[in-house]
Amino acid sequence: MCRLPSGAPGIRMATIVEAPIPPKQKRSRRERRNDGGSALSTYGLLAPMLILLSTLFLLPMYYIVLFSIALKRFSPTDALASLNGELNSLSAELWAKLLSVNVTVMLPGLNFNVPVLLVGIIFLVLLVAAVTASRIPEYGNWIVGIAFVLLLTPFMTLPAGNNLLRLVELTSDGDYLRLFFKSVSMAMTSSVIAVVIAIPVAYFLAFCVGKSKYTWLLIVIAPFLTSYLLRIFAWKVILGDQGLINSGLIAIGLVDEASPLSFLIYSQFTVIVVLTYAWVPFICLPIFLAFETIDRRLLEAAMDLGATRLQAFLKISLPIIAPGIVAAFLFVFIPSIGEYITPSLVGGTQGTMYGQSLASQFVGGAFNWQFGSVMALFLLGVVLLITFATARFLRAGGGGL
Amino acid sequence: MANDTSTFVVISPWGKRLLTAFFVVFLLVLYLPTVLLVVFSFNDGTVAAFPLEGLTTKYYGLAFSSKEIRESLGASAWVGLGAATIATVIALMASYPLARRNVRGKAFISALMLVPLVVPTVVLAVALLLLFQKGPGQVGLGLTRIMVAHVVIAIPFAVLILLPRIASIDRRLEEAAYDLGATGLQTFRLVMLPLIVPSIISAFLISFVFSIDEVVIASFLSSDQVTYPVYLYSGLKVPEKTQTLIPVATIMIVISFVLAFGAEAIRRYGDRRLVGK
Amino acid sequence: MNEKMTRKGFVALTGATSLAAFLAACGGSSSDSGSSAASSGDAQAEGIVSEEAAAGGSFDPASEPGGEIDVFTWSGYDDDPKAGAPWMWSQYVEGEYNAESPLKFTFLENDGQALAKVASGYSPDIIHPCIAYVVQWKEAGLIQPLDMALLPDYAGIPEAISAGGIVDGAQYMVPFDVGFSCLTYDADKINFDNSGGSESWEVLLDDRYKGRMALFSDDVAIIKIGHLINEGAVDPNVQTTEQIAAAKETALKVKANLRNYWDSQTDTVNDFVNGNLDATYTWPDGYWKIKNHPKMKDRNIKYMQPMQGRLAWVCGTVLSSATKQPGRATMAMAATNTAAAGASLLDIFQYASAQQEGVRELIKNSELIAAFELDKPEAWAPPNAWFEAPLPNYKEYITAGQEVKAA
Repeated sequence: MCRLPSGAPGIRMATIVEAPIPPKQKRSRRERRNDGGSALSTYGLLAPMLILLSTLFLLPMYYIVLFSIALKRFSPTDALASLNGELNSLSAELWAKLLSVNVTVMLPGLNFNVPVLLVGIIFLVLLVAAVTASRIPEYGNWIVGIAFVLLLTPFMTLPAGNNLLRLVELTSDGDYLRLFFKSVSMAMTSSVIAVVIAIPVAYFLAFCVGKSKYTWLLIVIAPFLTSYLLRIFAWKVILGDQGLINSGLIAIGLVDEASPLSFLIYSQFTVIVVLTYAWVPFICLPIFLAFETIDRRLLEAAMDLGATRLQAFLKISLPIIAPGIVAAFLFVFIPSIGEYITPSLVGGTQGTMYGQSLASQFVGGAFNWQFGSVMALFLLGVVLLITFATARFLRAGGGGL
Repeated sequence: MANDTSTFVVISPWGKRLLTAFFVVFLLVLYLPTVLLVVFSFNDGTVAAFPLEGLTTKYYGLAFSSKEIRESLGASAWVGLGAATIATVIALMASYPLARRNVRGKAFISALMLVPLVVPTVVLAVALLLLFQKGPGQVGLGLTRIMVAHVVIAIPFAVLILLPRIASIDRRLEEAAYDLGATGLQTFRLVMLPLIVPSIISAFLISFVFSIDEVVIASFLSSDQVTYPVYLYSGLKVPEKTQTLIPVATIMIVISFVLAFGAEAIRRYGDRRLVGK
Repeated sequence: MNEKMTRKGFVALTGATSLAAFLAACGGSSSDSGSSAASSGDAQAEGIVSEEAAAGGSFDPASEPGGEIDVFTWSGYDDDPKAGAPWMWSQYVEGEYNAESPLKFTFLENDGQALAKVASGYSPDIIHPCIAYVVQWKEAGLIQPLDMALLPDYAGIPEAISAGGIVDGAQYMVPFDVGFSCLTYDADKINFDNSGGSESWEVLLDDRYKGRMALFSDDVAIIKIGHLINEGAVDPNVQTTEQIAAAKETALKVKANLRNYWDSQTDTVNDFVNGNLDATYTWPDGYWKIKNHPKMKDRNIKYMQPMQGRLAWVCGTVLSSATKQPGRATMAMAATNTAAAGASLLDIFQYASAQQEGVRELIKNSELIAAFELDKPEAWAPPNAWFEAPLPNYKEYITAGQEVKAA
């Protein structure tokens, strides 16, 4: 009875019916289709979303693709002219020029040139591998896993260890690429921290507060109904050189007044702290809901059979909540990469992110919409790869994506 | 009492104490910026610094009497509630077949749902600006356009919450309902819906929280009526206005607390009635 | 050249990889390609309107249709009466047309966002950009020349300030708010020993103050400051490609010493008062707020007059080419050009006004006149101040500035 979300009698019945079924039982294909839905209703249900996303997302993105392949720089007025049918068509000459550029990869003690075409092909192969592998039942996980690791190696660096980023120091406009990798690593760090914080919070909410869990959930979310911009404003008062943290540390004598902890404000650290803070409730929710799906009788049974609590958590709870955790991670990681308001408010000169440069191409006065679009599509491409790879894990855990 | 024993199953007493401590610290950190905002809302000065220059409630008066603040809050509420409702309904409709049925191009559809998260909002904002102003139909700008744009970004959040939950519900529950003669809609309403209500509420909340805090798209797509974050973002550049905007944060937190505790009171009342029966 | 090559390299890399990935993932999504051509007549129609206006420029307010006049401006420039003080729109609001054609205000975020929004078809009647962007607004066909007969006080604006609003001989802008852009610093903590004791932008290169200084995130300002450090008191509005490249190198060295580039002056004033900074780029009002904050009363806060000269800004109102009430809108613009509007701008916001005639007599807070050097015309002219002006090669400035921030 413990996992009932509310007192509705319908759920009691449902839980009892559900009880004797182990969660990971395989079903036959025939059974899978046996859900009473016709193809018409299937696509009818999907239609509103598909229509909405096609008109309000794909069509706008098509404009962005147009900007990115245009031959000249764009200003807003040019962009309008081009949408009205005067776009320079994508010429073979431009592509030839684009593809013949070399990028220099600098490994420690070893520099070599790679044609950009090759880099593109490698990315494409990895993408295709990830997509195909998700259809292979047995080795799929391995292939996707390897592709995933290959793709993420440069990103996995924590901001502290920026040395590793030099592996991918690309000389041709290294500034923007370095910034990109830095942003990915910052986004990843804050997402991982947010997940690590959110798991115990969600566990506590799901199992330790009884029936008022939804009230507590609301209390966790409540601060996020006040404006983010104002909360950042408050964070500066907390993290400043004479802010709450430094004043506290000075008061207890841990820090010298003349040299406060200056990394607290206007640094990568600040951006990571504020991003983590901003996204934690967005993570708590899906993980909490994942915990809610666990039938506690499974845990009871496991412990009756001699498992410790840790074993029960690792063998039963974790596999069930894994898709929730992956979903939560994506929640935070994906939007954080392109984030630009947070770093421009608290990042200082050291914590700048890719999204800031990208945004400034569109609104920064030079109106270089072409370059901005290319930067946006690059971001989109990389994140799509990550999403494809991760979607595999969502499915592996029974998440359904 | 059943509750206590089941808690004991998943967590030891010491673990529970540890977790409680962690949760308390978590809440303190979570609320620290908000508490500071409450403190600064009484600051009689335009620079946010300790010590306060003096205490005053005059900025509450200014905030309450400001037509712009009232109107922008109204606009935000309308956009946020509308976007959250539409996003939740659309995401619910879409999640069901994706979780339950063999859909052609499932990978493509899933990717399509998630990519709006990836595109930096400024890019989508510029592209939507062009679409609405110069694209087919030339629908122009305004609050409803902001609302639908927010739906696009809220959908991935809503789907990521709803889809795993629907997928985790045992299919045989529905099959049993069908066997007992229920129609598709009845099955959904009587079997599925009660099980996913928490997820629906969560999806709604997340979409709402996203929408009422979104500033970039809203600023590009607004015409003469602006949403609260847009008004706030431009107002933050003017110290005098900043100070009248801070009390709004306090008011918002009070409202959300009233809602949270109101909901809890209603739930307890409902429980008591159930027990009474 | 190098700069262009590097940029192309990135375009190439990203173009190849991301397009491939994107198209592969979303293949077949471009079925709507034809439908966006629907409105091809529109842009041309707008072009014609603006050319006609350029030839004409004589408006008759009395015969105009009425209805709201939409002012697209910065937050703070709305019709807030501020405890009864005359405000920038007072003359219009009290005038004969306000009842039929009341003013309505919407706020812009920055010049870039405003231009993008109006270019896409959003059509306010009056816009409030800064003078460096007038050429872009004009070239985009979004603004029209003014009927000078409706602007009786215009002559009170010094030519040095209004020059940037004239394009091809036609007057497009009524400058309203002007001011310096320079460093506010704590003289007890910052000294200029490294530049021979006199105030200089070179202090930004002084690594004794590493992490204690901040600049505005404006790309053009970043490059102009680099130029002033490199070249001394030489007009930063006129830079060759080589000078911009050199200014970028200096700006990169400056960046290493900076704590942040601020977006909102409110933030940097807070940072200064809260002890995060000892020197920061502010406008005069920011300096005034820092200097007069209770926490700063024992400090020696100064507003730098560097030997290379201060930077200075000019913003003002322009008339949309799509407005249906050009005459009444121009009269509203004329209200901002009065001496009373100029005086209240200083009293309320501590901004200086472009209008100079008769303003000083109306200023209530006379302390501000000396503090902002309104009584010293030489402080408001080169080489002591370099006013913002339209830059023919503005894209080079901005690209360089963006690269400094991205590095």
